Amino acid sequence: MNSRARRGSGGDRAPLMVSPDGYVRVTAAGLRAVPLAHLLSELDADQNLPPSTASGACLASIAGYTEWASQTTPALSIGWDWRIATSGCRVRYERHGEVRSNIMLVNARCQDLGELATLAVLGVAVDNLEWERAVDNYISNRYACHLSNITVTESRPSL
Amino acid sequence: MRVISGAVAGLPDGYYGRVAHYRHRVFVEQLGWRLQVQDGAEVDQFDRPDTVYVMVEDETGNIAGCSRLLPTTQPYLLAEVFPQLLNGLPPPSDARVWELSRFAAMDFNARAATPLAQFANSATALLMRASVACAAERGAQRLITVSPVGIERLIRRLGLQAHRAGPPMIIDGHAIFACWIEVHRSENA
Repeated sequence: MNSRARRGSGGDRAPLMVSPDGYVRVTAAGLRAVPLAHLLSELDADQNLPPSTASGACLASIAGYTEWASQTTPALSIGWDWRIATSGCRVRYERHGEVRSNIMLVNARCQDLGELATLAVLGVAVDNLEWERAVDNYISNRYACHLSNITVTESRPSL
Repeated sequence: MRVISGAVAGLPDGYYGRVAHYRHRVFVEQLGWRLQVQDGAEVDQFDRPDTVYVMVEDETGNIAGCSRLLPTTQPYLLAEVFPQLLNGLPPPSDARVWELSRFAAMDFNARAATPLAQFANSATALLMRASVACAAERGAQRLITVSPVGIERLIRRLGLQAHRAGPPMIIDGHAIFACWIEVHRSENA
């Protein structure tokens, strides 16, 4: 028994439903038709500082996770880890690792594509999503410091 | 490290109280959750005679982690308090589905005990696997968790077969979510 869903748009498509196993099953085309909105993002505590790059100082890694969801009922939910990569003076966000979601992609005959295939497609979908600015804005407001400034953490020399 | 599990009546003397104090240190003092507390112990209505506890004890006898298992055929946290985390699915009531809650593995003897650090310590993996095994022994085929979102990263790192039930929600300032774990496909992970 599935919980019937309503959708914000695209009424000609099959409605989203949540299956008894908790997955929301959707085709790749159906997934592309559902907008995802930023829900929340968090920074990870920097527990493993790398060795000092200069005497008394080291670059702190900046990483975290972000959560996105559709406005549909039931909701499609996707989360992933990210980290800030630096190259010279350039700073950019990049997805780190596989996405996590409640989505199981199905083919046109409503057959499951399986977890691995679903994760691969969702990863591509995330990489095509312009998520970096939303995460940056959210993190910047939440933590009251802008991430375009690379954080340099001073470490006290060993005594 | 060693694993201790069972309902209150089957635990060694004093262990239930130690778990309640450990939970207070983790969830109330470290994570800042607003929970029922009494004399430095965190206990709620789901801590009953039929509740199953799983604990990891380190070499020096300190509790290094704990979790709580509840059958979904009786009242449980997700169904009673957080059904909205199920994304519209009715809360399960099935002897083959158990709830995993109050999962914590924070080593207070470590140099820096932080909420994130728990995902890196060895007790965490042991506790999660012991919790899955303990539930399997009681007939569980699936677990449903209600947890901070960070647990999902742990589950993924351990290679367990799991997926979220829906999007996380901010409740009392904390992002929590529900997650399904397939017990038999996770036991050998």
